[in-house]
Amino acid sequence: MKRKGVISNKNGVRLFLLTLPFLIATFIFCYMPLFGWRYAFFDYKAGFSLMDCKFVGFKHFLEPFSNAIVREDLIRVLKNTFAMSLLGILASPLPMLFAIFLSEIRLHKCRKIVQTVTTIPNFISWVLVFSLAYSLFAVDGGLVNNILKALGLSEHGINFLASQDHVWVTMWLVGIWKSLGWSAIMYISALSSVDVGMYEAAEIDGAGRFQKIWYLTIPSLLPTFFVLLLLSIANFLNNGMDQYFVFQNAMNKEHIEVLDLYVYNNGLVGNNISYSTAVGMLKSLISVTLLFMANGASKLIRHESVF
Amino acid sequence: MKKKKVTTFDIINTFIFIFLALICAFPFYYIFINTISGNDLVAKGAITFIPKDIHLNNYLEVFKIQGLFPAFFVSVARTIIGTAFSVIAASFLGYAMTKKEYWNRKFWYRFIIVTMYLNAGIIPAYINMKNLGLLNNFWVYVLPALASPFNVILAKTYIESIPDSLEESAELDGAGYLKRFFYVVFPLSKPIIATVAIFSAVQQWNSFMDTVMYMTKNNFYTLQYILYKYLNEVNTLAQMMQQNATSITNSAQLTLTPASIRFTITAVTVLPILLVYPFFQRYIVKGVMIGAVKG
Amino acid sequence: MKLDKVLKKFTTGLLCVAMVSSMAACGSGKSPEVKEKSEVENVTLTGFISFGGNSSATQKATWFTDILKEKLGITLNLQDDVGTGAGQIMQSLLASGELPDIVGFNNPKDAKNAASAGLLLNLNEYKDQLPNIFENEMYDSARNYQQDLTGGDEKGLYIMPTKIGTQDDINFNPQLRWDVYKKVGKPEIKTLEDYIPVLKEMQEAYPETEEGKKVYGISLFSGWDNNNMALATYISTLYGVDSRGISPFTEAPSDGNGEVISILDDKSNYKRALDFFYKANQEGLVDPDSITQKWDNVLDKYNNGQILFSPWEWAAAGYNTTDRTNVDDFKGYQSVWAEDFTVPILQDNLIGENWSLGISSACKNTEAALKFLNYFYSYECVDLLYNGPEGGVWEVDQDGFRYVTDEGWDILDNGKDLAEGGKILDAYNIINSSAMTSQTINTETKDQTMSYSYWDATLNRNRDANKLVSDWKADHDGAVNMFLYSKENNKNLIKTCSAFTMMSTPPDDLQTPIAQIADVVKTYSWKMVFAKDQSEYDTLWGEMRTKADGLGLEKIMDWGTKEFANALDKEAKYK
Repeated sequence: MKRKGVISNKNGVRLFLLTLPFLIATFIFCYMPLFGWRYAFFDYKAGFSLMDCKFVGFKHFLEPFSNAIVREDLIRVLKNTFAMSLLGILASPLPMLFAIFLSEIRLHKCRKIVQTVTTIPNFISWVLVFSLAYSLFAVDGGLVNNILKALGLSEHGINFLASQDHVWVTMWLVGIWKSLGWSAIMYISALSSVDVGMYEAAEIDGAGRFQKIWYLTIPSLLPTFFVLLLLSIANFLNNGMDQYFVFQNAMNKEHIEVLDLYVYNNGLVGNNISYSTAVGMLKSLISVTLLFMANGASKLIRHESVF
Repeated sequence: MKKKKVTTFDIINTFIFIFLALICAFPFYYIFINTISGNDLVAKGAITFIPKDIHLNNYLEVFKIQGLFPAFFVSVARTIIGTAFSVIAASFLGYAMTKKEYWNRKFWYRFIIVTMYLNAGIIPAYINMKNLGLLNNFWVYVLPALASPFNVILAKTYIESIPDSLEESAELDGAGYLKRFFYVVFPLSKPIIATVAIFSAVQQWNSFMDTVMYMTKNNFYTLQYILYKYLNEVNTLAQMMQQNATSITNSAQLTLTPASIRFTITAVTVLPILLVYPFFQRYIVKGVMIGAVKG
Repeated sequence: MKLDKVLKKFTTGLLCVAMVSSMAACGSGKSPEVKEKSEVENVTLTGFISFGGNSSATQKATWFTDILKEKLGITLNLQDDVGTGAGQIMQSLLASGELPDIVGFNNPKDAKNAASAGLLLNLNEYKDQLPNIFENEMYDSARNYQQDLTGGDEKGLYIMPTKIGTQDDINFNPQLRWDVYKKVGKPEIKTLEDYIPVLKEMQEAYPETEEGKKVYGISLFSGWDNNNMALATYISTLYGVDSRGISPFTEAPSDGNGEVISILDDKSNYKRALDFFYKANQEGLVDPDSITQKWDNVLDKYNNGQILFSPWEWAAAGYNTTDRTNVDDFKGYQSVWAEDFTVPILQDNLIGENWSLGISSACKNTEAALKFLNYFYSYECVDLLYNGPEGGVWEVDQDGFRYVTDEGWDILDNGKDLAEGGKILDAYNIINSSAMTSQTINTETKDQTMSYSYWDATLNRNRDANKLVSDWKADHDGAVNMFLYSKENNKNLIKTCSAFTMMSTPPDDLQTPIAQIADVVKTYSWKMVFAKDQSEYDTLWGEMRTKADGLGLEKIMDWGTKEFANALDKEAKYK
């Protein structure tokens, strides 16, 4: 086993050296700053040398769990986080389906335009998405309420944005709207590596449109799909906060507050460097653990690991 | 090629996509018509579907923002240079990671992927950049984004699907890794290159936190940063009034940036992307064309 | 410290390897670095102003940057915190151990940390270069106070506060749509709650604006909420309590005489304000978009005249344009106060505000930085910040008194550019504060106030401004405005003590519970205002208190009470 490896190993080292600059860059920009994780174990005050700050061990990690009310809140927040993440994972085949069915459109022009246009929402910042949503759904002068009032369906208008019902689903749909076209790009490009010959062969064998999709197209997209799925599983706790931040208000907060937003709302970021470092560190470690667990699961189930 | 008959599926499918396109396009259309319609109408929220009193003053107004053009060039420069570096790094790393002989491949691949989830915090990142002498340095835009793990994964997954046979013949001719990569793999990977390029280009174009944190001199201010500042100034002023009204007593100075200008600024940042995107799309859509052939 | 240096060398080395090899790998790319244009004898100072509002203004040429360049040979290159929030940049700068040349702190805690970590110059060592700071008696208290507070053991002067000097005005000045109020017969408003039936009547008499926009009694927004519902504290302030200057969740009488209580106390004015909003909402007076809208939307509504009540004079002023106020059928906002209001008067700011300036010990052009700081604390500079250059909007009459010209008023009222380009605010924006308050007496002129807003000519002008004002004046013994009217009649006003600005920042171990309680208070306050009925309202109030108690409100209250007592002692000391 070792002997066979000699030549390829020489090549392997050569290849490694060729990529070394990039690896060094990764080390410098992604790993070196992690040295700052040490702040999490001190009561760090910006400006002072760490030697002058008090070492507190795991205080900043344990503090949130010491208070009953915070614990209760955390349970609610984790519920929201899990719900949003699960919904997100449920939606993960959508970009793939989008790419597949888009490719079924016959008209070349139409396909191209649809593809360009559906990526637009991705470029509009969340702040602006909210102001658009506001101009559509505001009670005073919002387009939708104007229509409702004109049709006599509602006398005073409905305050959609302050509603606390179906927050998870609304946020999910808004998220899909914003990212669907953009995420599909990856699958669209993956589609181009599909061997045309196979399709012709399948056609000769009399395969129908859906059979071709099922037996040829989807399997060719699955590697990309599984990689992305794995990445999103590892991101289970990191929903990000921009979207939820702009849409949150006192009424829907109970359901919209995901972990990232909770951490922000509670001023754990910024004010207290040690605390926010501890939170960031904990989340990093959980994500990496999830990543490897998901990878292991993939190995067990699909007999193929992604990494 | 024989023409296939149009089925109900085709009709429904096309219809659904056109519907999707409409909901995606509407917001931008809405923004756009609000930038060219009469400003008093926009302030009243009277423009929803059809532009009225069309004029271009808002664009002229935005173009008057001081430092806009230098900032535009910095943005273009970082987008082009950053994207070029990122594409080469991601595709070459992706390629290298498909090679089983790569020295400790599994370890190094994970070494890259894991960085997606590592978060050191803003302050350590700042100190790191300072130690590297990258404050007020153009390279701070380019180097940290060099080996984006996500792009590496995309490239690797795609390159894996290219049949080995193509590269093997080049290998027999005695071509080294670099040669094989640039002459065989790279041309075959155009769709993924285009994808990685558009991803990193958009990311470069839109990012402004790095300007906020690492740039203190105006040489390297980016378009996004300048516009962001411009939008935020007036809000800060209002907040200041609320804290202490006696500092500035003339409320006329408080006129908010009109909604129309806010819309124009969005249009100005999004339009370049939409104009450039179709060029990349040509390569990406290539894949879909194959779908058309088989259909 | 040593470790950091080793680390720095190591990192730099690594970067070199990476740069060189990546260059080799990718072919040489040329850095698009732009060479800085260096003008002769012109020093560029960098700076970070954490309370800055528009310090990027220094990066464009304005009449003020021209003055700095010609007079001092200085170009400023400042940054601020706009939009990034949470003071991340300041924390990063502090952590990196090096501050830019000029530093503006927005809280005493950061300033103290910077001073004790040796990142700031001790201004006491440069007395001869800072005559404007050390020779002006007006700054004595401020200097002494800072030496004790941030000066460390050796009583150094590391930072100089801003906005020092005389103040005699009010911040809050409740307004109603005067024309509509008149239409319903100017009903008496004895106390806060009386606004509700009046607003109701006004809304019924004026349900829609002329443009067909729906009219609301009150419109709220959450954008300025910090530790509590900001709008509620604006209302409670009208009863002479301060719930913003003091520690979070605490209210105390503005003049410092009396009990310090929690805003979550049943008898707090904060609770009263929430009751007020809740009842107003029950009556259908509150704008339903209050929960979701932003400040922009509210201002739009004020400018449309859609909101009948405003706690601020300045927010409602956008509607009072000449074409509305100076016609027979005038429309517009004017002050209407409840008879029992006690509105706090801003007091002389002897020690300045919590916003302060310092010079970095890493500054390479100490001389230039000192020159700038010295200039900033001069009467000349403050004058420019408030009024702009002579001939811009103001001139001097034959007796030597200054007045705003008619063209000047046109520029000010309509937000126009100065004749020679730029806006008046271009100067003020740079630091977003000034050394002296706007009402400080400028001893270099004929003892007029620093800002044109309080010159006699200005006050006289307002006296006969338009038909709307005249109509209001007829009801108020011909007084110029509500503040002067109340002052003359010696009612509805209460002094503010300086102790509020002397409160220290809560200690680190209280920061987390404060943020958590703040989150609870904000959420529940809003929910209460929009509660369906009284029982839901009461339940929410109870829940909020339980949660706040559970998160450690008592500890914060204890600290706040003690700290306020300390601050009162301090106030006595520096007066």
